[in-house]
Amino acid sequence: MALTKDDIIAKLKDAGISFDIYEHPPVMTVEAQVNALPGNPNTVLKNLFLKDKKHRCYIVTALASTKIDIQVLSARLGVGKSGTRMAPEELVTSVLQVPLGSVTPLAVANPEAANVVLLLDAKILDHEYVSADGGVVYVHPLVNTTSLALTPGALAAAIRALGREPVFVDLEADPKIDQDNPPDLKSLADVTQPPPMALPVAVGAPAPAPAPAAAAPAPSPSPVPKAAQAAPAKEAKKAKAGKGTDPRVTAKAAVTTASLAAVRPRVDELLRAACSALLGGAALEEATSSGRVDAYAMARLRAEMEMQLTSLKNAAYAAGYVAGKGEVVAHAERRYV
Amino acid sequence: TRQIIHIRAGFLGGTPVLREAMAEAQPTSDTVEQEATDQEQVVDPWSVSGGADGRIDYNKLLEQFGCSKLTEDLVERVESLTGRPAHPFLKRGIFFAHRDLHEILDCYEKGIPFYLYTGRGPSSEALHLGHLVPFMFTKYLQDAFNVPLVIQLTDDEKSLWRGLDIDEARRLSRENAKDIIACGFDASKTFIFSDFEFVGGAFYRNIIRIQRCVTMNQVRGIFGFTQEDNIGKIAFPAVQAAPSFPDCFPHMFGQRKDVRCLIPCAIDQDPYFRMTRDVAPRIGHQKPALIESKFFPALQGESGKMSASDTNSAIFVNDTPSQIKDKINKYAFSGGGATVEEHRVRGANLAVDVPWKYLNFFLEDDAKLATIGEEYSSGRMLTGEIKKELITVLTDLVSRHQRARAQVTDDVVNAFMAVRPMPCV
Repeated sequence: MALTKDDIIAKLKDAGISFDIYEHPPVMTVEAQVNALPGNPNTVLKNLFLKDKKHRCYIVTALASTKIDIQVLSARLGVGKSGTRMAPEELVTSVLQVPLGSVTPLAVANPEAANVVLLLDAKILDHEYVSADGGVVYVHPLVNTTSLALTPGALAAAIRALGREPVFVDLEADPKIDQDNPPDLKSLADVTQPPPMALPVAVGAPAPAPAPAAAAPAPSPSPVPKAAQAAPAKEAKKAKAGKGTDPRVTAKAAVTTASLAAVRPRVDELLRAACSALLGGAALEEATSSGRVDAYAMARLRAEMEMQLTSLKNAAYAAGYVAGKGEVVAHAERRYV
Repeated sequence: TRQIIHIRAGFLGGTPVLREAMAEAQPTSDTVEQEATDQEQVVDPWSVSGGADGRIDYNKLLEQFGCSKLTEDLVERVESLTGRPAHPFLKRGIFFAHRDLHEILDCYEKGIPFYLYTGRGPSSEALHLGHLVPFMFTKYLQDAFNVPLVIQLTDDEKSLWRGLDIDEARRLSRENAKDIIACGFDASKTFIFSDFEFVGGAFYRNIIRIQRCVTMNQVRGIFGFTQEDNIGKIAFPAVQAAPSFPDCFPHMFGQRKDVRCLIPCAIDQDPYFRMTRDVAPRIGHQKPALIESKFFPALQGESGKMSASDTNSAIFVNDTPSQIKDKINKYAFSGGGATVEEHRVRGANLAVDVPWKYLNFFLEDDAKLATIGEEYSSGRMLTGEIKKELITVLTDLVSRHQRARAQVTDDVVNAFMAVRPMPCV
């Protein structure tokens, strides 16, 4: 099961890796993390979590100053310029098993992330950017309320301790790719498989639940009406037929009628968006934990949203039912023939 | 003390609350009732009263009925299976007993489907908070386990027992359905039906199968029927047993008989479902599982009597904020001290304090509830203050319910009640 912050820290200590630990309020951005650390260091590492059109996943860990062009990287991985995008948020929790805002190279420790490729910025090893004299870089130990400071050497050792051979890549390189110059990172991509949770839902199966606990092995008995089963099948066929298909098409196959009609995830999204908009970018959890919003008021707001969305959903369902009835009656009457 | 338990012949036909005796409806069991003295706990559908201290001994009830206690480890198992915190009713032991809940959870883990079954006897338009409790819990179960639900409106029962005009009973079914829908059930997985509209076909065939297996003697033993009771009453228990069996609902489960059923209900229904569980294997069906709750106290307290006709005995779902405030302030039985001084010294008696009990039902924040418990029982918090907390919580709850209900149109009711294909498993 998913490792906790304490698990990972213990693992690294056992492996003899030395690092410093800094606790701070949750930080969702590199900027926030820099501001939360003493001395506001510029060696905080940024992490991108990417997914390509073959559903393979990548963590790209780099210095904040390194410019990463996802299209260039995508081509170098052998999936074409538009073959790679930022992975959808639910994969952060389901594949990496970390909360949003906590992507870290150390996430490769989690069993679900076994197939995720880790690309480290070669500049981390470059003394011009990280001082040879005790210079450290900062990564999250699976949660964004803590940062570990390690020397580049310690970081590489840490990755090895987690069972991976660290791969450092010049992320800013933009090599020419053609017949004679194959994509230079393709071999890294080709050795891996898509993580199971990143795969689109197979026709007829319930949508994978992105529960952080991820404990229940049995598929939840969620009703997937036949109409919804037909739609993903069509989309999947379209995806196969086209060359260089838009990854969004295959990603959509994971969306089912049942998952679209779920109220709770929408309430979560709405609350997140509201907090962000109204509380100057604050995360949902921060709003009550920091005391800015009274816990009861938040609970009441959540209940209110659930009620309104459920009401809307039922009204829409009723309207659909009327329409469905009407279609059958009209057909029997040959009204529109 | 001896306990006499009379079983209500109207599963879900009443409320899981302590109510006044329906004297006019029960010509039976007079001799047995006379034996009940003030010292004894009496639990029957028409008058539930506590033992010597006016309180119900739930452990005794459990033992007497032979159902199982819902222990903490079961609650934890529910939490880990559903991946979310358990409902306050579960955490706080309001739903405190069960039959075969372990099996349902085992099935859930293995991917064997189950559905929920609950219902209401639509006897009047006036629903109170006690009526909502089982529906609130059932909604949580539906969301947490993502399972289908059938809700039976026993308008036929009300016509048989209360002599309610049949068309009025059908109308009340639809009106009650609106309040039920307002509790937030999922239209795509919930089938609400009225007996008058739905009994027939596969449902009726199961009713007959059940009726074949139960004798007059048995129902007399369970429900206290006599030779003078009309034949509808005597045969009726099978109508309420039937929804425990999935093949009553071919539009949801086809012909399947392996889908399990879990019934949230009040503890006084337990003997009723014992009959159903006895019959089940004899007709080739699985036994329904039960998850059972304590009674919801009347405003006047557990030894008081709550009835839908006494507006001051309960908070009703169409009460205005000022009515709620008045009722709590004037009628909610307080376990606080007789004077402020006495209260500061002795603190409040939480065991009998109605505002405290109501907060246990409706205040979701565990930490806040615990704090209030400490402050009030130590005397630092006054009765007026705990009542104020309760008034806020209830006003929010009731107002939200009213707004939700206002949005339930006839079209929405029709959709919930339509016998439409609902692929559920």
